[in-house]
Amino acid sequence: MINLIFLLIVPMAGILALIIKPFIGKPVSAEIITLITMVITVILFGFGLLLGFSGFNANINSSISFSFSLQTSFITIPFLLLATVLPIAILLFAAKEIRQSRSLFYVFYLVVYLSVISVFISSNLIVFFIFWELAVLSLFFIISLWGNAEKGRKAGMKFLVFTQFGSLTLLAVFILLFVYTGSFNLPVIASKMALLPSYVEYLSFFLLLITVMIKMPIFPLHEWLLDSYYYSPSSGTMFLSAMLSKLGGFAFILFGFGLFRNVLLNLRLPLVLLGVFTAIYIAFAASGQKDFKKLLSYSSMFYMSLVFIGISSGVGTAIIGSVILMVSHGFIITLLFGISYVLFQKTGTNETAKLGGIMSKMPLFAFFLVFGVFASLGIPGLSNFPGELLIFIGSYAVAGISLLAIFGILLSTNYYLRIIKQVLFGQLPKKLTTLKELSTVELAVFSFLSFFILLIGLFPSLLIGVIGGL
Amino acid sequence: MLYLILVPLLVSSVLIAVLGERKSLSWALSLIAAVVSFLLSAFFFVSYFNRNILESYTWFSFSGLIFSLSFVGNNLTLFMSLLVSFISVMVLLFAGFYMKKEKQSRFYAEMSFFIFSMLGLVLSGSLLLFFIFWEFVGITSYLLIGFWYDKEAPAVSSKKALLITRIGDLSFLAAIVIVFSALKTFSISAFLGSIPLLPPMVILTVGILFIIAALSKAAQFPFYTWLIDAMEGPTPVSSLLHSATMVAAGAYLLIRLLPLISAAGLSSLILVFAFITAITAALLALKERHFKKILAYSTIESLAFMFMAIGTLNAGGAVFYLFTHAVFKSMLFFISGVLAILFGTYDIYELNSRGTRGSWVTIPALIGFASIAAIPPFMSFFAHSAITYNFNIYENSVFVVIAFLTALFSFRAFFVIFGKKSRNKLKREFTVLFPIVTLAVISTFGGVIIYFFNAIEPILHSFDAFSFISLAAALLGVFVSYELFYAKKEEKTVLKMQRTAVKLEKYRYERFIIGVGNAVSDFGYYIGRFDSMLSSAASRAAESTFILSSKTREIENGDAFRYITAIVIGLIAVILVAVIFI
Repeated sequence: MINLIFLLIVPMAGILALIIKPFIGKPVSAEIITLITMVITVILFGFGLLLGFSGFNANINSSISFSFSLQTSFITIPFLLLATVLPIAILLFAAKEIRQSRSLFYVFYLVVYLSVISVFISSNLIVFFIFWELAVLSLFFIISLWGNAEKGRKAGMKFLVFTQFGSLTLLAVFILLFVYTGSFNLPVIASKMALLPSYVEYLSFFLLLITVMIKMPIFPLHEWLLDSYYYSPSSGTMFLSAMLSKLGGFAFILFGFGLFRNVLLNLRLPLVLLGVFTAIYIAFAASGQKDFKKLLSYSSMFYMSLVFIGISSGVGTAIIGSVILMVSHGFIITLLFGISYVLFQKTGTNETAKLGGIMSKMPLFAFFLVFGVFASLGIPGLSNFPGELLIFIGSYAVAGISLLAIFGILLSTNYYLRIIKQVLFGQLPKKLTTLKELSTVELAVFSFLSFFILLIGLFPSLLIGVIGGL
Repeated sequence: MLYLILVPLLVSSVLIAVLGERKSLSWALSLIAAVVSFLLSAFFFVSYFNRNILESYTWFSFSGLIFSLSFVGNNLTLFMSLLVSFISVMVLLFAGFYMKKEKQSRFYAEMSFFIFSMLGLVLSGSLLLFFIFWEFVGITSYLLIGFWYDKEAPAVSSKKALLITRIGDLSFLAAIVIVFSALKTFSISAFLGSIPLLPPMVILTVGILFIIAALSKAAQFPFYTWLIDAMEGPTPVSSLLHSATMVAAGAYLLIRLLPLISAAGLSSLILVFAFITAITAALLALKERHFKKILAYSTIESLAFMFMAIGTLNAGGAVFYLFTHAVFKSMLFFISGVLAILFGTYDIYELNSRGTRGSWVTIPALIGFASIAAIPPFMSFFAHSAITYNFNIYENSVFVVIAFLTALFSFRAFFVIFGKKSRNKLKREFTVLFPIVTLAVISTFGGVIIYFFNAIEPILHSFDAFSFISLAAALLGVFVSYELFYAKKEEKTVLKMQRTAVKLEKYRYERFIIGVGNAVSDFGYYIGRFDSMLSSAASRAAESTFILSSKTREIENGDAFRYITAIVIGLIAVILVAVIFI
């Protein structure tokens, strides 16, 4: 058995190593420390998968039942895969992109890493909230300090205002739960949910909904998304879209489906409708984008709205689909943002209409772009397909309206194919004749991500097998 | 064991992709794989004859729901797999001639993957597996149409092809979602067996969704435009994907689901679409100058014939015509490819001026065009008699008109292309001679197969009065096109009519489709604008929060920023200390 606390101790040690590194000279670079830290964590996670995880509990203040307790819940393990493995791929982009105050950047990087893992495994609401906040704050710094020189700070501020508001509503939910159940411990709360009067349940659910809708994000609380995704450094964008948005989905399943299931089931029709509206609205908004990175930001939101539909339906099948889609989307969107980053590095523009014919110079790049797009479009054999299939099967049974979101997939096909056509097909512009094929590192990262996309796509049972008790 | 039929092609596809550019090795690998698949299909066809083998594999399962992928081996599916692998072998042989100067590895990897998917599609016994392969053939078609990526036309038409067929793919997805929610199974036989238990609304919805899927894949009205543009792809691709196999998958889907169509009462709807498609395609083919595009219109029309048979609940006729069409149409595409390689053009009037009559392809071409027009003794005459078996008098009368138009456009192409005597001998190579001659022989003498076809799919046919009236109409068509396009009487009128047709072309239906596409993207543009307005409004709101709280307007110059940063870092420190040491 692997104790869950080790998944926190290792990144913590990495952070300490990064902090003391300047005082003892420069034996190794910050990237290497970060990489080693994450690899050790992944190895621990792998052993945990084989041997099983054991919980951790340390009482801190028993009068308010504040204990540092870690436990796997029914949907933890798939998310842990995302949280431990994906940042390794993101690191390799960050290593190229971040040039100034690197030690500090990697401290924040590991703090995000640590806190996302902790959110997934903490079973005490105070611990949950502390790490939830830590993740937001460290990303705020990453966006503000290493983002776009002119717009980065404003974007970071906007991100902070929005997500802090969401955190406040989440805190309110936790306090309400404490007031009525007398505990911050999730298993205790779950057993005492009957003590909540129905209006409190509804109130808590709506507060939770605000948090989730900001985090995922869902219309009409998504306005922070575009600026934050666009002006943050690419590694920050990957963190935001691949992991932070999943925190919203995770909280929605853990609390919305886990605790407030009655409310969720009563409200599922309007919620599914909201999800469908968001999906189609965002698919249209994405169709109107000329900038590759903006388009990807919107498309990321599109898939999260499918997740929202799945969870809102409150059916086990659709929830499993949502978990698969979230994990799969984490890998796919990282691959696509990575591709857009490489493209920007090589051509100096995000506007795909100015490009063309890149296929002739960079066939491997072309392969990964097409692969990423097909994965995104839910081609069978790649990871999105089982997720989408289960979401539609599950939600159709209770809310037939959800099938309308398929129209959004058609719109996605349109804009993704436009990107492929503009980037890969046609004649190469004269100034791009010196383009070089992907470097070994880029190739390795893209293959690494593609491997997981293919693995989940071919064997979704790997993920389904570790989701328990729905 | 049925999956064995697919394995060689998947292996060769991966192998070719991994090996990279190896000249003719890629060709040889894919050809060998196709031959092995053909032999395996033959083996299974013989050993499973008159049996119904279901091989089911669980993909994943949870809480009692089983997502199974199953193959079914019976006379129909194994005959289809035999047909697909046979045509594939022929096409790959021809590709060895046609694609000699192109990049080999990408082409053959994608072709192998396509044949793999197509064989999987015809053998699948569950709707889920059917859908998976249905998507695979769609994307390989997209990749193969766009093979010449550096030209503008393939780039546009590949996108268009995938986009239009994806309408069908997604309605297929919706259909299987509905079926699975109702029955908790994907198995086609279980689904067809429990149709009487389903509520009529569900049957109707699912039926319509499947019909949309079939019409879009088979390029029927109102989706037909993508197939014409798909001719920008390499000719082996047009021959295999866009006439013999992939587009026929649309008809094949409905053949497999025929009980659903009759239970939903949608057969007459299919019939209406099929007749509209056939007449439209035959008329449009008359003005076309591009050899392959004429063949594409003819393919659309032939698929409409299959849908007519399906619309009259005549599965045997549809399957037999599918087989007939695959044979003669792929041969015609080979001929167009041979002429294009040797003369460098697909334009029938340019081919006319180069002089081609008397070359060795003339006789096979005559067989091919006569097959389009369903003239005896060729196999398609028998096939037509099977298609029209269930027709009533109105359908038969319209069919007579269609027979006339069909003969007119097909012999127009023949008389124009082979209008002048060839000056020098055409090159002959085994890789192209063998497939053309083989297919020509089958198209000529294959008619007798109809008398043994009952073993594969129950088939009824008869040479009634209407068969001979249609034949007379077709012969009239041949005569008219001889007078107009060979003897060149009334040449001025013909030219005038063609000019009018080209003018009409400008206003054709396709413009409407493009208009719809543009409207969608314009709408998207405005939604995008609206969303960025929302976003900037939110920015201002967010800023004003800070302005109110700090009572300063210094947010822009960074002082406020430093202030907030200090607070936040302090907070983090406190939390960290609390977490670690308390």
